[in-house]
Amino acid sequence: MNDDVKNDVKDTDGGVIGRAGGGSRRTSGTGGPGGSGGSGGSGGSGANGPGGAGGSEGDVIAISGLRKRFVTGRGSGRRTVDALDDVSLTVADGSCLAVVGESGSGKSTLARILVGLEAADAGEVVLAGRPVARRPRRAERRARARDIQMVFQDPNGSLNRRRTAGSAIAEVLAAHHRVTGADARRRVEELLEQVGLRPAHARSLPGELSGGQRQRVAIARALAAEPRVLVLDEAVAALDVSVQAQVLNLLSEIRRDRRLTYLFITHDLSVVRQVSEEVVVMRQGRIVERGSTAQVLDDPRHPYTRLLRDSAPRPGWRPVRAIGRDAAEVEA
Amino acid sequence: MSVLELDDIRLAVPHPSGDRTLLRGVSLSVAPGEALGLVGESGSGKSMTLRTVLRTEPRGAHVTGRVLLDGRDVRGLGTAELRRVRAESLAMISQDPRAALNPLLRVSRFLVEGLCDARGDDERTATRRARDLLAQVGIADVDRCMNSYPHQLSGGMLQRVVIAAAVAGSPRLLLADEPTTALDVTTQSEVMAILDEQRRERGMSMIFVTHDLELASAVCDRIAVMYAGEIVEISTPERLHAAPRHPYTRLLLDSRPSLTARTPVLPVIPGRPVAAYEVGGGCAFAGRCPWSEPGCTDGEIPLVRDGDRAVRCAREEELAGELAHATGTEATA
Repeated sequence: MNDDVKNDVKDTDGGVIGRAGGGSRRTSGTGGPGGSGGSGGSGGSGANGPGGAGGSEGDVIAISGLRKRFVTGRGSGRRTVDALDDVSLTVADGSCLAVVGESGSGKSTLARILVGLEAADAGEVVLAGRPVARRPRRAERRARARDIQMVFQDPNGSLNRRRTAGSAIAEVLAAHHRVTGADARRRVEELLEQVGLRPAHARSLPGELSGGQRQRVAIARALAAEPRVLVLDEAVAALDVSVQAQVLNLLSEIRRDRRLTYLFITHDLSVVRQVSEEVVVMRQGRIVERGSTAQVLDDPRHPYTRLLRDSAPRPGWRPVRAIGRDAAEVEA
Repeated sequence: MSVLELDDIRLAVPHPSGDRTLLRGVSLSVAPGEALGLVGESGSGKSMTLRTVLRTEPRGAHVTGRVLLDGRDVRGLGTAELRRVRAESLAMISQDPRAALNPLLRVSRFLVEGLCDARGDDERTATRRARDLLAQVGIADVDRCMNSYPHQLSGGMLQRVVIAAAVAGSPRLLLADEPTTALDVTTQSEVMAILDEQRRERGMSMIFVTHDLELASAVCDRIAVMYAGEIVEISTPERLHAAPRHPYTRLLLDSRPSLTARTPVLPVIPGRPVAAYEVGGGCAFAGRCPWSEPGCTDGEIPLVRDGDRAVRCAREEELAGELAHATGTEATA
């Protein structure tokens, strides 16, 4: 976590700090997303790419000009970090957009703003056609939670360890759909079955389940709200290879069957290839490249996308030593 | 002679419901200058195997078998001798570099103290050597790094500092336990390149523990695949990819999504990885193996050696041809 901030600091200080605090809101109706600076020539938005905010009818998520700045440190160590710097994207109904980046890229901040865990400084989020208020009221929050649910990397952190899988799922059913009692129990069993668990797992505590099973419970709980969108934040990163394959298959099955829309955040380009139709590559709060998954992975245009691809271990790969990258990693 | 030889290492830890087996007879050897990858999923025993070499296994663990470091059994050493072996012959690099460094000491203090201790250098010599080492592990601004506290450095930088400290005394054997798992992919590539380079230059042997078969293949001479507390296959990376001999290895290779092609459905290994203590008789993988037969669950299945490779599968000969081909659906671009 600290690393993220540090990486950001080095490249943003100077250039960005001078900018107006409020951040000007941009609407990139003509499809000029990202690229508000240095990383020019990137991906070039493209009318067919997952961009052009303001979007069309078929977009479930439309984000434009999103900005978020964090302040870290105290006194002379005080720094501002632009976690999101004019980010715009759209996700078509029923599709999967992968958001790729390393720590400090802003990909998790994007997810957190989208689901309402964090408020943006500027910019617009339109979910299922409804603009989302920057500081929503309780009822609005609840409505949003029904539309959009999130699955985190670490199910240990997102599940209460004293609460059985069944009651964790039932809680969501009661909150969003007022389903209780025998109906809830039946629904819990259905949901568990959909994620490949047995009804008996409803009585298990998270500690009694394996990592893969816990992540399935987290997915079942997200599905209990009957959302249109799932935001998956490194949701398979902590799983063993053999379990990861199971969960990836499960997720694509669920998306097809329920016509869900995914925003899939990952650092893993092989996972991007497997799950998504479109991809945006983020670096230090900006989108540096976007396009169809095949196009971006087969023929990356931005040097950073190429670096990411060349760094991914695969048959015949050798690690390479980049030069002079580290100087910037030390905090002043 | 091998730098390291593990001979039938078995390990069990006490548990309220009876002892729990974590290693079920691990045997392997590492030649001088050789890098051996120890690959497996969580709970397969790869890290525990390393810990038996360092003798840092959990308190109360029962360990049997021999750990020969340059022919000397590490398991039988007294405290003072063990300390010396650890200081002179072994170096450990773990997943979290912060665990290796004192947060209250500057990097210079950490490195210089280590060098003075291990080599008896005076402070000036040690400082010069520390600076050389940092330059060798690719740190451009040595002054800044030397004067930094751990919290001021990124994970990638810290791991390079730890590597510098580990290779300082050119130990016989490096033990690296998922050294890049917590790092970003671009940083991982760089840190692995540096580790590989340092190891080769100094002619050190290495055991590299990871869950990433591709990563291990890039920097290791041989790979040992572990499952449920034992080695199921040892091979060179090339042969492991071209023609794995154990069904688990085959499926592990296939279930990883590819960077270059998408498959409609990923081939999966049914069920979940079993723990060593859950294994009954016969093959530990039989319950999840599409090729298992009734005979697979009988008796103990030995690790059969054949030159520089070895396989633990009752149907190894029959399946050799079949396992050379990927399972599952055809890949589409």
